[in-house]
Amino acid sequence: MNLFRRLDPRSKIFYVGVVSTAAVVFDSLVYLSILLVVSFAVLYLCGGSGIGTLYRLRKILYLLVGIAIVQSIFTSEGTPIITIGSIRILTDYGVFRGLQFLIRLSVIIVSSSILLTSTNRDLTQGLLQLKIPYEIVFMLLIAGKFLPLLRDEFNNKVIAMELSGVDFKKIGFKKKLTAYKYLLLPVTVNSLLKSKEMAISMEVRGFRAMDRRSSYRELKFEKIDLAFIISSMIFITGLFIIR
Amino acid sequence: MDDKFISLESVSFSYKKGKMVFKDFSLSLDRNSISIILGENGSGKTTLTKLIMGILSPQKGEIFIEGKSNQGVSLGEMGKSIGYLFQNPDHQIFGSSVMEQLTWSSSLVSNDNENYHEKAKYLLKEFGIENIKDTYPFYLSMGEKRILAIASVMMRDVKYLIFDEPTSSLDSNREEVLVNMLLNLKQRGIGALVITHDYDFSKRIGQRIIHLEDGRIEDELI
Ligand SMILES: Nc1ncnc2c1ncn2[C@@H]1O[C@H](COP(=O)(O)OP(=O)(O)O)[C@@H](O)[C@H]1O
Ligand SMILES: [Mg+2]
Repeated sequence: MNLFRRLDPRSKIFYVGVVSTAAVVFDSLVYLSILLVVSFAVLYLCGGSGIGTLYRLRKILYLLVGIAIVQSIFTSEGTPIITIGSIRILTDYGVFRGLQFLIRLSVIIVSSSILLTSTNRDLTQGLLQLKIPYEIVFMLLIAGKFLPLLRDEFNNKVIAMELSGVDFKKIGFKKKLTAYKYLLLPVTVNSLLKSKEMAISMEVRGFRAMDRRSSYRELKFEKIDLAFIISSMIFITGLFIIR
Repeated sequence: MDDKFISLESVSFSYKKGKMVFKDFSLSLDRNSISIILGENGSGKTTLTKLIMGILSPQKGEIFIEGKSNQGVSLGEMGKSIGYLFQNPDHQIFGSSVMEQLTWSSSLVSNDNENYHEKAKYLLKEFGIENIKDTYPFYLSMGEKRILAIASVMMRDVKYLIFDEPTSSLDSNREEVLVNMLLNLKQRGIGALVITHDYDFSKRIGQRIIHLEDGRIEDELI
């Protein structure tokens, strides 16, 4: 079922750009839901797992749902659904706004995670062939490599901190701030110093010695890419027209 | 069976994305002796220590510390009875200077100011790192970082020590200090589990040498 597995990363970037724009422009819940369902389908066909994505994003999802609820409650226009005395707690328009926010952001998140179904290397090459300057692409690449390391370092530090008897639940507010300082400062300073060392080692290897970098690996648009881009264009234009 | 400090009973463990590291694995460690684990890279030595500390949980089997299962014991409580040295010293270095690294956690949890400063000074001297006490830890050499991490574990009074490769990148003087310190602690009833690749070091301090291979152990007679 991995119809789009070999899709060019540039096609995916195109899809994400178009769909995210549409998600911002559309107001109707129906059209936003259609975008969401289609994005899930594309994600699945690219070899990603919709449920896996939701699971990884569960913490952010709680936050989004929370914001949506707050937004529903604080919108006072529309027909009231729940009232206490003369105060309108929930109105139909508030519910609409909350749902709109939730689905809109979900579309953006789900469609962006389609990019993650390409390998780092392919994505880099795709961006390069889109004429994005190498320095910027390289920065993204490094960030992608460093973040997991940083997370690992951070998790281990939290464990080490607990082992040395510092329990965030038990210490007072002022000491808690100090504890956070001990946690965050070394990770931050170390990554700054590490990047300085990396800059030196890149210099030594002649990074940017030549004006243009050539690459053994070139991405080529296949028929499936063409079909994918055309059908997503038809799909989005169609939605725009019948809107 | 009273002198068993740690015992693992038919423990099975594998990482989320990875092969089985331990299958039906059992091991007991004595309270008052120093046990050594030798084994190739990737044989599961670090994983074993993390299982004991409760940093990782086994999929099957149970691990007992002083006869009590370590499931549900908080890391904070575990840290009170066992001092743990990470294989990567960076994980447990928090201070912005060598001196601060030795005192930061005590300054957060205890009010006994005098006492822990004295102890920190003693350890700095003992391990020969007085001259770098104001240095930012990032700039230390690997061996110096290791010694600093060892010293910070020694800051606390515990019943048992688990050291993951304490001898890697140590010079012979520092190693000598470590040998004396571990033997001294053993005299006072504090045992240890030490992972190392240094066979001579093992012979000098160990009462039991355990070879770990493919999740199985083989004891070497001493
Ligand atoms: N976080 C992890 N995720 C997946 N596999 C791991 C992880 N940590 C270690 N491993 C694997 O588990 C095995 C045992 O690792 P480890 O206990 O670190 O070995 P040792 O300390 O003896 O060198 C190795 O094959 C290693 O690749
Ligand atoms: Mg190891």
